[in-house]
Amino acid sequence: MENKADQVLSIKVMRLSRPLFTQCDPHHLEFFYLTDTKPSAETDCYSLVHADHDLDMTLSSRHGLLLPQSFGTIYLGETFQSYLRVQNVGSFLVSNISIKADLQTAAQRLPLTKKKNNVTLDQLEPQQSTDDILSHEITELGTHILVCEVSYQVGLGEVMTSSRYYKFQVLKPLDVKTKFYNAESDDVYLEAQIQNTTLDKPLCLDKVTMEPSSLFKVQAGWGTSWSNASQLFGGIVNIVQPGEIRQYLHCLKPKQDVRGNLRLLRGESNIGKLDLTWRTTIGDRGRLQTSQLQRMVPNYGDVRLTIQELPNPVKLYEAISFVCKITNTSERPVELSLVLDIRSKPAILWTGISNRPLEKIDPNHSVEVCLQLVPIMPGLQSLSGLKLIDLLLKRTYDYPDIAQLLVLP
Amino acid sequence: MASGLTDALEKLALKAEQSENEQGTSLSKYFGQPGNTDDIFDSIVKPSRLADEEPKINFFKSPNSTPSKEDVPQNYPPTFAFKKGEKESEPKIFSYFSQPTTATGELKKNNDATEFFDQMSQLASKSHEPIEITGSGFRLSSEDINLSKASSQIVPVTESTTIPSPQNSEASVSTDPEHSSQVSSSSAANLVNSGYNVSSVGTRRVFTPQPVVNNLINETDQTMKTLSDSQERASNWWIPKEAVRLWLQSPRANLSEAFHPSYPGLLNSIELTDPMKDLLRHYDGEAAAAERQTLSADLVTQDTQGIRDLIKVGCYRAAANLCGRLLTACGQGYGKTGQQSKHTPHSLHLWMTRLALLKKSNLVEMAVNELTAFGDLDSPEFYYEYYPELNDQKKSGTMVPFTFRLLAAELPAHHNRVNEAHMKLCHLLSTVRRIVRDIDKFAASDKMNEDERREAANLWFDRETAVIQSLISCSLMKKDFHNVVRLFHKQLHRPGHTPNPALYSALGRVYLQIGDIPLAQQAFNCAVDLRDVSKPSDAIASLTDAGLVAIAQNAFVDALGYFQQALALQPDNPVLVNNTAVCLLYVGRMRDGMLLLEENLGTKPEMMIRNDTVLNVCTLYELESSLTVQRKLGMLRLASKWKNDDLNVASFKLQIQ
Repeated sequence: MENKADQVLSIKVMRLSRPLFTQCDPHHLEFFYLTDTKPSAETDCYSLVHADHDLDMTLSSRHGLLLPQSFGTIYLGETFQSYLRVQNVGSFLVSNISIKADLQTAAQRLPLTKKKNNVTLDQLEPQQSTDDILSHEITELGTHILVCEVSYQVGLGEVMTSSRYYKFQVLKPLDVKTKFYNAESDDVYLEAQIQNTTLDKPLCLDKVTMEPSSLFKVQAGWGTSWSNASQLFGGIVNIVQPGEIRQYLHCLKPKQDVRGNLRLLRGESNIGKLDLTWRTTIGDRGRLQTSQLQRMVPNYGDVRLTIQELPNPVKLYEAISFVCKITNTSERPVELSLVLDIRSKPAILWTGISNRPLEKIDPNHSVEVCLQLVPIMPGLQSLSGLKLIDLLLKRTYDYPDIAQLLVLP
Repeated sequence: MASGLTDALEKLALKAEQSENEQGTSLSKYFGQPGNTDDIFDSIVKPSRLADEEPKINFFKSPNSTPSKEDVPQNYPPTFAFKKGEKESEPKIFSYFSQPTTATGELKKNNDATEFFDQMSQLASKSHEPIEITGSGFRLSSEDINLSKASSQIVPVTESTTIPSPQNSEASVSTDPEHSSQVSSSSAANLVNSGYNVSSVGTRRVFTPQPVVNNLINETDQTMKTLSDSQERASNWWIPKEAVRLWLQSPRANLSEAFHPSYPGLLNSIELTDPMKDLLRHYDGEAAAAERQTLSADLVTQDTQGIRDLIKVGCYRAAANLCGRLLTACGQGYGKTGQQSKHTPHSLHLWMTRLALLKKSNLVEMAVNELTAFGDLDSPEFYYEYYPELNDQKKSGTMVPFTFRLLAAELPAHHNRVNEAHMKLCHLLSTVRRIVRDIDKFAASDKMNEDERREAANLWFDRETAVIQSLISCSLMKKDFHNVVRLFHKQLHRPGHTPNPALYSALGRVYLQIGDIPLAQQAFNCAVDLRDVSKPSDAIASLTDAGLVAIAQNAFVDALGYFQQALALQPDNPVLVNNTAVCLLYVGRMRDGMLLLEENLGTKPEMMIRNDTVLNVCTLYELESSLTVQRKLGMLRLASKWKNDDLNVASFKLQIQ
């Protein structure tokens, strides 16, 4: 806030962050104690009668709101609001006034005055003023400069201009780290770590939602609504303190119509975007969205083997059967032979014919094969030893650890 | 089509991710997975949104509502991902508007305004409050009384008549009429600068007491009871630490190196001056300062009645001075630290009074230093048993008033040592809880009957509440909201607790402070359910709550509406005037807000001049015009006519060069 004496029009700005509650001294009622310094202190009684009332003094409504007294800090995703006041502080009529407020960032210059072009006024009488509230959602980090320019004419004199520059820094509120898990079922699990990187602002994370790309949908009940976030996070307050990290898990399922289309699904590395909304002191709101999150596309090779039905858990030494689905994901028809391999220290024994040729599978088609095995070791056992040999290319596809089996004695 | 640029940016971001992947993260190690951890921080981009989307209330009504559908990718403007290297230039966090560079190169600062403003902002940035404004309890309460009998602020008083409490069952304990009038004066009448007892001193501060005040005095007279005899006995109960307990059991047995008695003393021989007078002297000269006549320690009787008189008219610093003089008489004056002196209940009360007054006058540093000599208030000389020769009444227990302990525990919090205060308060709470738990044992040792025991239990139960309140306030300073809310819930679900709308309202405000609007609304709804809509005080409380929620939603036009409605019900309420003015600024009507405050301050100064109103009007002056300093001075002169030093001079945002 400043003013130049020789200017006829004064420009004043003030950031309108939220007004503040007064946190008052909870003990002022105990003061009554002091008014009677006799040790008996009936006044003690006074304060006790009001003990409950004392609690009410926390951020009490008895105290008025206070206007912000400093610029404070501003973070990416928050809204910058500022009061802009241009007043005629001279003693002459000023005419042909044009007011322009821009926000200059490292990359661009954003006009903040409401009409895209300038605010223009015909005239301002002495002491008259024009008031405006500038509002801008911060989308860039780093130095921002609020540029206010006023041009005007005193009487019939020449056109005068004056300008003010106000600088502030935009900081990063959150750090987001993501991790993907591609499940066999073609579901994608997204683990997001969200860290509050502000210096002093506890964040109330309103919403952390996944906005999936076109091929996926977010499984209902996962990250769609955080209305009961407080229960979710154990405490009674949904708040992320500075430095704290919170983990979110989202499950994305391929949409029904693309589930069959493996090639399309496989080609899609875009998963979607995370949408974060938070509030800080007195409801000050911020919002960020990540760019498209990229997953590592799972490489299935030309032939993909998935387990369809597998009983779990199973009993030791009891034969079980399950269904395997073999899909040709290549561009050509394949002829395969199924090998059942037995390791040196087997946990399971296959029953059936090894090196069994399968029927020819056309591109994007699949066959289902029924297999039997007998678990011979208790515990959590890995299903391995399945191999497919491409008879034409003499290529071997190995499927170690395709599923896990809990074997109970 | 902007997507070309966006694509390019995303490719850039992808590159960054890949390099990130090579490094891997500790987390990926933890999961034994190939690191696919993307640091997408540099690719955070912002969705475009219509400018007017934020203030909508419907967000609040349906918290589940998803972002508007305009957020489809194509609509994003080419937003700029920031590059990694940019972090190097360390951003100045608190750079304020006051350091602009002008294009014309002609930088003339209005030093008065800006530098002080800077100081204030630095001050504010240290604490989580913009400026520490200590509430002036007396003044506030007096306003409450002046407002109307039905005002919300009086609720606790009226409530205390409805809640059966031991104090009520003790019908009229005070038999001595003079004594009872003293009680009422110290509890309610002194809230008003009513000239009660003051006129004799002859200051210009003679306000005519309003008739409603008398009613209130009568009313409070019935509710204000002295401690019953049993409660008075119970109030001295304390659990000394083991070493002290052993010593007290066998007095003088091995008094030697066992402990070092504490000998407190004043740390300054210079008496405190009136800061408002100093400010006036600086700006308006000696003559103007001399015109300001406040009650000083010299003008009252040099005893506790004098302290009472000074506090009554809000001359806190003068009262602290008088406490100092009386302490000097007790042998604990300036320079007496470490010199042998005797504690008496009287001296301890004087100390407590002085320390509380210092804290109230924002002289926390001095209070903390003077408190140091007292240690943990738990050594033998703080117990009656230590002075067998003085103790004819066979009193036992501690001489330290409970409020003194509470004050000593929470004082560090105001001295930027919140954790220390938190620890001390927890310690205090644990002792209080032990007494509550073992209340039967204590009662038995004091030979109390069943009724007396119940009264004693109530006393200690309420003390527990007082400590919890202090803990809440301390946790708020620490921004430990988990603790705040937990303590609130505990208090709300306390057995035998009558649901209190004000308590729910306070919880709602805590939630607003956090930013959790749905939960705040829930708490406010609970408060509304407990209120009687037909009562204006309740209606005002609900409107205030609604106004605060609207502010949290950035719906200042709505908030203004709520506060204006409330103001229509109670035009003399300074809080409502203040809040309405604040909202006027946020809807772009700064001048209206300033005029509203000025008009009220001018016409009802005794009621309206408060820290919050003065600070806000002076802030608006800074925004208003070049006459900032003159206008602030006008406010100072006005306040100087009406206020003693129970107003924080920092509110004027004036400085002495």
